[in-house]
Amino acid sequence: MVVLRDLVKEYGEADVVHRILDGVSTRIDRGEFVVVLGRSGSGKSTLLNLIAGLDQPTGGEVHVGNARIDALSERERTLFRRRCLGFVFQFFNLLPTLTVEENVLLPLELCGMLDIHSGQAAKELLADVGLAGRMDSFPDRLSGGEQQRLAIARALVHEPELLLADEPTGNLDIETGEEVLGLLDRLVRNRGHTLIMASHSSRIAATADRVLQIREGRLHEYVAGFQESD
Amino acid sequence: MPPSVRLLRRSSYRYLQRHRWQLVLSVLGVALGVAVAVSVDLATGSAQRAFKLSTEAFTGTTTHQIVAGSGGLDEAVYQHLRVDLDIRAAAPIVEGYVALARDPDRLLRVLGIDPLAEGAVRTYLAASLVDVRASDEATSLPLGKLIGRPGAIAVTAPTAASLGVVSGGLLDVLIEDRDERLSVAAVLGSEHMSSDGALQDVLVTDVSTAQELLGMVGRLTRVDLRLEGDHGEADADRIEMGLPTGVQVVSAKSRTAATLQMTRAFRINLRAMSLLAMVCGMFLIYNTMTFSVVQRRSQIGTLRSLGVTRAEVFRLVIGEAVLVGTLGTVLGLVSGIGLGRFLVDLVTRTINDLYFAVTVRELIVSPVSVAMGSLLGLGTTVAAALVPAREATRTTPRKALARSEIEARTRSLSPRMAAVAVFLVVLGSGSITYPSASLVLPFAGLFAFLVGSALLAPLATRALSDLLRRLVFRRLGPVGTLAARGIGAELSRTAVGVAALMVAVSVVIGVSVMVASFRLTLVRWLDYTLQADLYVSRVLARDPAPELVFDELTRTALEEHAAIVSLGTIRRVMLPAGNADIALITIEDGADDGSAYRLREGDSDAWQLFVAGNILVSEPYASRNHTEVGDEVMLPTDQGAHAFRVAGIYYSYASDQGAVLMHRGTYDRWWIDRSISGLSVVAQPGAALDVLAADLRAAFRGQRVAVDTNRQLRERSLRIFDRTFLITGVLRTLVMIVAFIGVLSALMAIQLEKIREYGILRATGLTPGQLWAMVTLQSGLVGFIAGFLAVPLGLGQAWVMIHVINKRSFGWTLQMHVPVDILLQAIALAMIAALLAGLYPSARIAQLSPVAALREE
Repeated sequence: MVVLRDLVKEYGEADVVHRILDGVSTRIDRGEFVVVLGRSGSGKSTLLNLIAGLDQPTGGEVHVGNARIDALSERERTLFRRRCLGFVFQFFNLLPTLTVEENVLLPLELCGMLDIHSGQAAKELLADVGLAGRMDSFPDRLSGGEQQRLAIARALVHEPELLLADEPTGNLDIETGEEVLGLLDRLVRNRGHTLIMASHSSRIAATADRVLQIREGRLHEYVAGFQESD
Repeated sequence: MPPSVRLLRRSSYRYLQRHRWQLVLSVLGVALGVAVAVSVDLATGSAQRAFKLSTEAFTGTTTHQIVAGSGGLDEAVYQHLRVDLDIRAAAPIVEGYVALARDPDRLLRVLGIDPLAEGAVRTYLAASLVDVRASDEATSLPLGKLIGRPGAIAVTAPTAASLGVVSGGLLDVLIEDRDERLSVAAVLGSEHMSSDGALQDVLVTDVSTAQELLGMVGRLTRVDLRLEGDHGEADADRIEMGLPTGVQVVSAKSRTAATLQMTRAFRINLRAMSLLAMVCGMFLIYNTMTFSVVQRRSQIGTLRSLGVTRAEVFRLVIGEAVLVGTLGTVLGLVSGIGLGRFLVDLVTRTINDLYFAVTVRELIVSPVSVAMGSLLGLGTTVAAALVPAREATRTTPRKALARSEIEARTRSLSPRMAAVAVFLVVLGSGSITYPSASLVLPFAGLFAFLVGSALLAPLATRALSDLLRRLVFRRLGPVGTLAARGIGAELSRTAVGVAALMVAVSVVIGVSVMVASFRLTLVRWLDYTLQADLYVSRVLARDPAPELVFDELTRTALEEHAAIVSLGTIRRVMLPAGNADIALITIEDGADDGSAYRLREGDSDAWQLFVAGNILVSEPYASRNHTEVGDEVMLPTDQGAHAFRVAGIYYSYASDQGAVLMHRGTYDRWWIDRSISGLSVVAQPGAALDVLAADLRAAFRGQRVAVDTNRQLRERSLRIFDRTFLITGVLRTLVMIVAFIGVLSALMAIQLEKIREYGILRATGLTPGQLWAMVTLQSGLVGFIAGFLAVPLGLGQAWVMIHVINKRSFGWTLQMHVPVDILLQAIALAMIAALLAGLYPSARIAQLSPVAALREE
């Protein structure tokens, strides 16, 4: 369960203060698949970063499960991400110096969950995302779609409470993007993870349980007839 | 290491593997830094230890010595000790040096002993002399073969082996310039010796043989005593009271320590220079580690997003530094020992030229030096990696993912870094100029000054690249503009490369200007000091006070010589003054106007006062003894101790131990010695100097003198100077190699990282030629900026070395001389290094297809 209360985020640039999020409040239940829509620069990524503890809010509260993220120390937020979170980025952010298999095993190792069965688990998960034959490849040898599928596998391997996806299809063509989205939807629903996905495309909304929209720093329930930005 | 970082380590390892050139260069940088520091330490340490070991081992149980300056003491003193004072534990010594005839650079110590008295102070020697096994004739002891046999010597088995002689064989040596043939009467076994070093390269002989060989008939170098127990010091005082004027009893241990102390400043300066190489190496490591962090910002950001803690990121970066440091240190220690074997010869030669005779057969690899080298290599690497490691952990994961943030941060940090830089420069300057005798303070100040200047590099690099872009590079079209703009736009990377190269080149400039200034000062000093046309001297190997008989008959004959305008004499003696001796130089100047001596400080009528009985002291003497004009210096004369007033301090670069200058008239009033050490002759203009030289040799017939022309003497002095600074030149070259590796590493890293960007440029229409030109221009510009910035920094270092470090170390005033060619060479050096560093990336880029370049990580 994710609860946001009066979340405010401001950035200063020279003497000008930009308020990106202006009192965002919502509640996302366990197992829910929520899409956050908004134009580029509307604050979607900022919202995800705050939920992940990658950034600190200017005001308000962020609760994930029983933890109040904004009140945790930097180290505690890091350990929270390690154990409870999976993150899928627009630009994949895979580790170029680790093989496909090692990229997937890394979260398990960080959580101290690596054991003799881990290899098999990683193999199954990679087979699930269609990368069974690429275990020993390095990420730069994979196509964009494959890289994103690998990123999804990495985000799910340690069975996190919450999965955050920031424009996961933004860097892919439509067909590949839909494939990736389908995969993400299938895996998350099968495993019962909570998924919050940021996107600027309302096409994605069709697969979600609930769609939220950021406009002028505030979060609204999606209203039919929303105009896409692209 | 917890299991959770195993994959991180693997990732780290693969990163290093993929950037193996960067890794190799960093390892080489550390290795060279460690090698230079360790080799200098081992070389100076070996020379010092060899001297100490041989002295201490030789000294045996000697506690005190009776000494009397350079002329030695009358052998009657020894008889007085044995007969009148009934001192049994006393052994007479006659000591001097001869050169091996087939290798005149190799000095052998002649040790004249009374074999029957040796048992009292050197039981090992006495035992060896009566060990029949050492004799080839079972009935004849080595002892018997030495006594009363002129030219008979005994050597230890290792010395015999190194000289290639056997018992009964002959050994040809040079004493002054005359050949002598000695017979090896016995080869001594080393069973009784605790250390082979005791008699290494020593020719043991009977006192009388040594006296004859060394021209010391009737005189002894010293008497060794064993005064033990609670009454030791009291006995020493009692003995001294009964000794003639000018003869003293000194502690054997403190005399050895005082001799070693002479080389202190020389050793500190060498060590400081070797540490400069390490500082350059440190910049290299800093550069590599910063670069590896900058290059992996996004990777580190990803790791942080996945839940890798700051501490784990920190450990990751430090772990890489430890790997680089360990590899570099191991390689550095091995090559340092190799380099040390080469440097030990240079160090020994300098010590032999300037201080005392020492033979160093082998490099002593002391565990302390190895530990120091390891600590230095690893410690420096880790210290250099601390800032980038901290930098890697400080940025929030969100920011770490943004490349532009890095440059923005570097730009915004520039003024703050400049403030820290100014603080360090001020602190360094304060530390350098703080009035103190310490050498550590100016060196620490110099270090702060260097680091401060390096921190100014980003600001200066941006300003200079902007200026050059507007003034020059814009004219070269888009390629020129792109090349110049790239430097300012990627300051986080270029500035580190510029700083590393700047520091290294500045060290080269600093040392070169210092050596050039020193040489020029010496040349000018020789110009006004050497005013005569011919110089007559009698130089015994290692004798600080050669003696030449100059009787009235000879004097009159020379004064009446048609080709001679005037004569000047010099007498050099060593006066005992506690543990160290004072060099006293007495002169009788033909012109008597003192123009050969320039005063740094002195009374207006200093020369008149000098002629009247005051003394002058050389700059190093004044510096060592804190002597000022008007002070009095107590000297042991033949009429008892007498205080002489100091009328002035004169410039002299003859020795860093310093000397007291006295007029011959004054000397003759207080001392009975009437001999001279050398003669200077001003010839008539146009006189045939070779004919005059032959006449002079004839005048001193029987005394085997050397006659040098003004030019020969000057050339010899400069040869010794150049030989002394040979080691400095070697170290300077090594620093430059470290610097070259630094810039190679920095620029290669910068250019290789930009391959993707170059791919984009190729894809948008830049030809391989244009790309090559751009990379080359950029590398050259980095080199130029570094070289340009290194000039003021190098001159600053030269100033510190000349006016502070040299002054405090040796007391010399040097005139700063800045040869323009040194500065131009330094800038050219930086540019060549930078251009060479750009070669590989340019070649690689030219070969790379745009598609492949775009795929580069």
